Amino acid sequence: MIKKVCYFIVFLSLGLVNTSEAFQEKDSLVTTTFLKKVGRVESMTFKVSKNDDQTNSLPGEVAKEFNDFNQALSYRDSLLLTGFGDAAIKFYIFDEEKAFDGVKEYISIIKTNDLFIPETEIMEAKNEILLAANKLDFKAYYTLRSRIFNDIKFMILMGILTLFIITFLVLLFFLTFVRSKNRNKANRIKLYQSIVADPLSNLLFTYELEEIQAMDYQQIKGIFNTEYFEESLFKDTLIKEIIYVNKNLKGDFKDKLKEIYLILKLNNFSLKKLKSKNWEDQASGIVELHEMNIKEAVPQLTPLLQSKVFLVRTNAVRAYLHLSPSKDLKFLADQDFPLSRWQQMSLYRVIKQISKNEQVKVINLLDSDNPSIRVFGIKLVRLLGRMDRISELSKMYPIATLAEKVEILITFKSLNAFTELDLTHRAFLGPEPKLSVLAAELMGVIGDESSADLLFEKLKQKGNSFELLKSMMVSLFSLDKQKFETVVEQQDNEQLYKLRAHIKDSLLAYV
Amino acid sequence: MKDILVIEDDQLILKMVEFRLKKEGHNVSIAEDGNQGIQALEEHCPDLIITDIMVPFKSGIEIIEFAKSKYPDCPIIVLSALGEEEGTVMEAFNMGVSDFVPKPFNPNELAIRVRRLIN
Repeated sequence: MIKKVCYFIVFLSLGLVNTSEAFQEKDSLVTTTFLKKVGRVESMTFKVSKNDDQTNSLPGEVAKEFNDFNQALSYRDSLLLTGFGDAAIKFYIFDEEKAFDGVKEYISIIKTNDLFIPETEIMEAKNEILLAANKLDFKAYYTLRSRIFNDIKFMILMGILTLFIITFLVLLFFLTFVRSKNRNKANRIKLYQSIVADPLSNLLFTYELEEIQAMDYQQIKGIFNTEYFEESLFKDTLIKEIIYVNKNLKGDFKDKLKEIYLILKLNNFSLKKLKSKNWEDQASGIVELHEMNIKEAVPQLTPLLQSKVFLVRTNAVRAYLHLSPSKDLKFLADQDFPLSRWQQMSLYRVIKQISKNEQVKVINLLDSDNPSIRVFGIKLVRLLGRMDRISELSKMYPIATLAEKVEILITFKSLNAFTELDLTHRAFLGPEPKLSVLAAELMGVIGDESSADLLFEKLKQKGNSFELLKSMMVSLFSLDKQKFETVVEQQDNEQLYKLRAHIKDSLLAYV
Repeated sequence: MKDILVIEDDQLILKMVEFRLKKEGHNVSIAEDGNQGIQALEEHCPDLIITDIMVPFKSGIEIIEFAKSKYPDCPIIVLSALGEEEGTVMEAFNMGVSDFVPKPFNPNELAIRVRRLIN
């Protein structure tokens, strides 16, 4: 179609050019030769008729129209031979008759613009491609295949790619499976929660504690009235809901919940979790027994006190502390693993609760082989205000680690341990800077005249750190104000002047 | 029989409160989040509102503010795990809340407080 449009544009341009003057005589020969050579030209037809303006002078059956110039030429010659002397070829471009000059121009343009590719040339080109292909060496397919398999790098690359794709597919399958399983589990939990809510409310608000205590397993199971009752996930959901309600309700509802938990033998379910190899199940079982206050679980909790899993161990220690009838903390002293600060805080909350009713044996912690347990023991002496254990701390000080010594001095300060002044002086004069600073602060609380003298002498020495200077100045100010002023005036030290101004400023004193 | 609106995001607690108040003979409507609570208040005026402070989409304070602007005489009980001394609870009291029940709570005690306010 595009080609036809191009030819049409060429045809239009013919009307604008005076063709008779533009070409030489030789052009006629070239055009005729070209037409003879190619025979057919796009959009051109040839009509054989009388050689004047009366186009239809030949009889109708004799005058003919041709697409091929050579055919038209042959026909004209045959007519000339048979006596039609006025037979001639007339040229039509787009069905419009043209003079030969117009034909020359048309042929010239389509040749110049490569709009005409003779069929012979196309054939020639096809032959050339075939010839070029024949020049290539023939390689059998099996030869190529063996070359691929012999290329080790290519094979390794293919192997890695295959492995990668297989791994990707396996992971994709696994993730889809796990997601679907989790979604299914979440939906089931939601269903069980909706099943549990009404019967649990019914039991709590319709029945008195004595009535629940008089019920048996089948009766309570009948209230829940569900086919899922024996399923592990249902029991698990029920326990979690009981514990949740237990945390949110007060009064005899807690007792009712415990009764329901025991009558349904859910404690056995929780105890079974302790023997699980899955640490999450173990941790969950411990929390359930702790929350429901099942004291019978203490023997089963004992092996979990030394669990390698941090969360299991922490929960087990807390539950054991809460449930065990003995509050001697011996089990804690025997712990092999170090206690983190978070664990210490968590245990302190339980111990603080216990110590309201009975005294815990902190001394066992001070005798522990585990340094972090000993540090926790010292902190407990301080936090529980155990003045009766000050002498124990004093005894352990000489052989204590630095962390323990720091805690001991802080505890002495917190408990105003006046009996430990000698130890404090020794710590102040010792080589450890951190202990000296703490001892200097402690002297401000429990110190006497001898302490003031020690501080005075030390302040006269050079090379004290700013931290030590500050704690000494604060303590000396509280012990002996005269010596405080004297040492500042005598030393003529810029830092001491500033510290004095700071300490004496009522607004800055507590900054 | 009185109309009580309970706004609480925890479904189990919501069920418990609903169950306990229905047992008292009240007509209890429930809302699981702030938006549902506001919507319920737009539709009708209950005789009493029990609301948590921390609920999804709209806070309990916003609910109280809305309820007090629309129904100034409607008594409101706040049921929350926040301590009474906390700023949010104090703010709720300043807005005209009638009572505060801290969690953990005793549903029987809540029922008594409801009875006292309604009667």
